[in-house]
Amino acid sequence: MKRWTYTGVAKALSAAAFLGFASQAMTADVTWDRLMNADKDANNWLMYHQSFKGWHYSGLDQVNADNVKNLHVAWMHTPAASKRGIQSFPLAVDGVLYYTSSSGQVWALDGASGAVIWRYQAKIDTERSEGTFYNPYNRGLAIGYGKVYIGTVDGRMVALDAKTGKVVWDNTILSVEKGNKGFTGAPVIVKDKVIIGSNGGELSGCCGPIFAVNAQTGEVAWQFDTIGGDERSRQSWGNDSWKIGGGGGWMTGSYDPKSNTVWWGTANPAPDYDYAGANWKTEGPRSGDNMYSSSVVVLDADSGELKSYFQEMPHDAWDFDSAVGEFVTLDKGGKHYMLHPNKGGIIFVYNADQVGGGNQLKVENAYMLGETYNYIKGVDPKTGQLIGRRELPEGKHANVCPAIDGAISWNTGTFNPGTGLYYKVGQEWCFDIEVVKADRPADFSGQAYFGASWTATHPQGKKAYGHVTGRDPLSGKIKWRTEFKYPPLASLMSTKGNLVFVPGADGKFTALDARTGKELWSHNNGIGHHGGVISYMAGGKQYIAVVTGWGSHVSGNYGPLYGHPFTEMPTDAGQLVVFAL
Amino acid sequence: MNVSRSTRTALVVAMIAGLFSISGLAQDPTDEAAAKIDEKFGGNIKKLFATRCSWCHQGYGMKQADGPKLAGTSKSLAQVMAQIMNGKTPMPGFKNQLKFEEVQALAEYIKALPAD
Repeated sequence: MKRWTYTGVAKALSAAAFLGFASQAMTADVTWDRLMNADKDANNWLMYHQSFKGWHYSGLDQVNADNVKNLHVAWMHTPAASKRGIQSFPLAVDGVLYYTSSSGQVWALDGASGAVIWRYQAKIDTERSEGTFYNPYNRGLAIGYGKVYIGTVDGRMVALDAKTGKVVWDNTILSVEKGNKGFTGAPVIVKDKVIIGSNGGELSGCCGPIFAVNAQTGEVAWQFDTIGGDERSRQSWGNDSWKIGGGGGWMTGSYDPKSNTVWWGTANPAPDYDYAGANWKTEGPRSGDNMYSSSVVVLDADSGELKSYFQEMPHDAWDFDSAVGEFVTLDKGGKHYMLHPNKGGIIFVYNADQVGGGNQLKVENAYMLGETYNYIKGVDPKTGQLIGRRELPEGKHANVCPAIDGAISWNTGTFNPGTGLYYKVGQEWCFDIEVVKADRPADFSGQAYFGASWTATHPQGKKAYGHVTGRDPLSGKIKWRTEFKYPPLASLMSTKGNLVFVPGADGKFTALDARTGKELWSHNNGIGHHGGVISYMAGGKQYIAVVTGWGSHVSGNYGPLYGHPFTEMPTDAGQLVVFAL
Repeated sequence: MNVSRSTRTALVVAMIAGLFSISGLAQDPTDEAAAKIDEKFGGNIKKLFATRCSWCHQGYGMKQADGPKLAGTSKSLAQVMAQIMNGKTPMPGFKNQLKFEEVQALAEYIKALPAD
C-alpha cells in the first residue's frame, strides 16, 4: 500500500484548497477588480456608494431629460412587515437586484420582472438588542466573492451564498461586554475584507468599533475603536468618561485606492448634550474634545492603523455627528480631494493626498450647506474650525437651529461628472431644548444616555423646509436651488441622462433636470422615502429602483411640524418600487 | 361694596391666576405632574425622563414625535409599566436598565400628565 507522507498530504490539501479557491473565484459574480472599477460599470450598482468615488452616479442614459416624462412603474416588491419602512440601499449585479428590509431580511429578485429568487431572514437576538433604539433598521448589504454580506442589530455579520441565499458563515463580531450592541449600516468590501461600523452614540458604552472581517471566513482581521482606543483619545475624555462615551461609525464609509485607506465617519459622544456648557474643556460629564467622536477617521485598509483624522465637531454639544458615510472623491488641478458632509450642515473638503502619520487631515475648504443655523456663527474655510459656538448649558434654550435632526441626514447626495455639480439635500428646522444633569451610568453599561428633553419647532418666521442644491462641490458655489415644502430624507441619484432623482418625504418621487433643477417628472409612491435609489440594466432596459417606507427619530417630527399627510403615514410598511420607460 | 371674606379671597386668587395666565407664567403641567411623583419617590422624575425617554417622547411626554404623546394615554398604569419594562419594537425595553421603582415612578408621572 502506498504510504501517504506528511509532505504529500500537505501538498494534496494545499492543492485542494487552491482548487477550491479557484473554483470559488471562477463562480464569483463580483471580484475585487469589478469593485475597483465599479464607476465604469454603468449596468450594475455593485456597492452602497456605487463606486469608491462615492458619487452615487449612474452612467446610464436610456432614461434621460427628454424622455423621463414616460417613466412608469415596471414592477414592485413588498417585503414582509417592515417596521420603520425600508431604509436600505439596493444593489444590482448582472440582472439580479438585492436589497434588505427591516429586521434583517435579505431579498434577491429578478431585476427585470421582480420575481423572487431567494429570501433570507436573520434570526435576531432581541434580548441582546434590547435597550437600543435601532432595533428594526438594516441599511443595506455588500456583494462580492459569490457572497452577500449583512450586519445585524445584535452584533453579527452574516455571509450568504449570492446564488442561493444559504448561510456561508454567521459570526458574532461585536461583544456586548463594553456596552455596544450591533450594526445597522451596510458593509463595504475592501480587498479581501468586509468593513462595518457599530452603532451606539446614545448609549453609555464603549468603544464604537469599526471592524474589518475576513470575507471568506468571517474572522475579525482588525478593529479600530472610535473612542478609547489610543492614548490621544483617552486623554480627551475627562474622568475616564470614554468608558461611557458611546462612539461608533454606524453608516457605510468608503475606500480610497490611492492611499489604500478606509474613510469612515464617527458617531456623537454620549451623553447627548452636556450640562457644562462653555466650561466643557474642564467640567461636565465628558470634559475635553472627546476624540474621535464626531470625526472622520482614515485607516490603513490592511491593518486598521489610524493614518489621519479630523474632528469636525470638537466636543460635540449638539449631536451633529460625522456618521454620514458619504465620501466624495474628486480630482482637480492635480490635487486629490475628499468631500464629507457633516450633520451640522457643513461640507468639509479634505486634502486626500496628505494622509499619514496619524495627523490631522488638511482642510482645503469648509462651507455651510445648511441655511438656518445658530449653534455656530460659521466655519473657518481654511481650517474647518467652528466659529462662535453656542453652548447649551443646563437649563432651557429656545430656537436652537438646526434641530437635533441636523441640516444633513445620513442619506447621500450625488455628484455628476457631466455637469460637474454636487447635489445635496439640506433640512431647515429648529428645536426648543432643556438640558439636564444626567447621572453617570455604570462604566460600559450600554444604557440609554442623553441629557435633555426637547420639542421640534419651525425656524423663526417661517415653516420648516428643505432644499436640493446643485453646486460646485469644492467651492460650494450654488448653480441652482430647488426648495421642498417637506425636507427630503432619502438619498439622491444623478444620471448621465441629466437627471437628479429625489425621493421625497411625502411620497412624491421626483426627477429634476440636473442642469437647472427644474422638475421634469414625478410619481406618488404613496408613502415617504427614507433610503436609497439606484439605476441598473436588465435585459437591455434601464431601471430605476427606489425603496419606500417611513419611520425614524427624524421622520417622527414631520407629524408635529406639518400634520397631514404625515399624521396618517404608516411607519410599518414599505416597498421596493422599480421604474422603466 | 359689601363683599364677604371668602369672596374676596376667591377674587384675589382668580386675579393672581389671571395674571399668571396673561403673563404666560402659568405652571408648566409637566412640573405639576412631576412634583407629586418627586415627593412620592424622592427623586427627580423629569431628569429621569429626559435621560431615558426624551429621545422619542418630546416635551417631557406632552408632544407627539417619533414616539407618541404620552399625556392622556388610555393605557392603565400596569400597561404603561409593562411597556416601559418590555418595550414594543421599535421601543426598547428598559427592564435591565431601570429599577422597578424607577419604572413605577415613570409610569405614574406619565399617568399624571394632563390630557390637554
